[in-house]
Amino acid sequence: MNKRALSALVIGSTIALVYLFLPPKLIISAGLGILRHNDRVMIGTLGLIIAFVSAYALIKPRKDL
Amino acid sequence: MKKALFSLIVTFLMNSLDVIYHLLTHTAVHLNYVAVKFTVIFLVVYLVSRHVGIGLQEGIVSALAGPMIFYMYYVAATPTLDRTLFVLDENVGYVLVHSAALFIAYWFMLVHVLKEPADFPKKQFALLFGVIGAFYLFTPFTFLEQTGLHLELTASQSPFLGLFLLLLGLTLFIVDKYDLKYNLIPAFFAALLAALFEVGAHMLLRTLGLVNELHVFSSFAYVFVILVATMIVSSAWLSSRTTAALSLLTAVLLEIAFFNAAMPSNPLFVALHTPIIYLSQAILKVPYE
Repeated sequence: MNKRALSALVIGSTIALVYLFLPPKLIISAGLGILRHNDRVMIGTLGLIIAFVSAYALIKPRKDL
Repeated sequence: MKKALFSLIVTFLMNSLDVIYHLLTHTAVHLNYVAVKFTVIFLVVYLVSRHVGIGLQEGIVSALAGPMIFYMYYVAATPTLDRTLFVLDENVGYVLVHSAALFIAYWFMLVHVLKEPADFPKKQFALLFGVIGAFYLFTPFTFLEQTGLHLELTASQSPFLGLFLLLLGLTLFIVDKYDLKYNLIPAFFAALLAALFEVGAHMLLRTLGLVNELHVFSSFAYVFVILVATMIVSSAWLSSRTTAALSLLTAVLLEIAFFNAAMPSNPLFVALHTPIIYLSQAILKVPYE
């Protein structure tokens, strides 16, 4: 099991879950309301990309050019 | 570095296709919107190529994931996006369209720049184009419009897209079955030459309202796309002298299909455009036998 990919999957999923999928009011009331709404959505999107690629890397062995 | 460059060019190609399409259909193209799309697509393609690899399967996964993740951004960013500008992509159908555009860019880079897979699966793509073509040709337009798959075309234009894709599928099938030579690169330059010639002629003649100060770029792009498609088909068929007549027929059919989608065409219009294709091929000596 690739530990780095697994860690990236967990961290990415958490960021995506918090900043992309939670309602804005809930994020702000929880004290996580950094920057503007769209910036938080962008951070969440980056988290989702990291989570997705990590999950893909876990199920598919790496190959080189 | 090679992977970063690969990802950058794929993303650039995909976004160019996207922007050209939005310009052609006079729909929203906004710098911030394009920038976010570029960032998301680039990161997906780059991270997949870096941590998994580059290949056909990776291309399909990236092509599907990139637009889907961008769609999630788009939906979540609702409260602060100007909805008078960002009225596109509300429909899930648009995700598939963007995936197709991304895959075309990825595949083009893979096959014609990296030259990794020796065998381009022509039969599978023939089937794919055939199925999508038949879908556009026979599906009621109201359904296409509801699902966002009408690509901003009108009810009369949509069947021509179907016809074009069916012809493309049929051509690939014939190229595969008879193992015809696939002269894509010379065809590409021939298309560029023909497109330049055509746009230049329209600019000089100021005809059809096709080229004017506002739409020079979009009309150039449109003609370019048409002729690239025509070149691919005709040059593949022109690899044999005996199939030259068939290639002429295909080029004419493609022109009718495409130009009908854009503007009213007539036999004279088609007759004037077809020689341009063959003239440019002759100049570049695309093999006739």
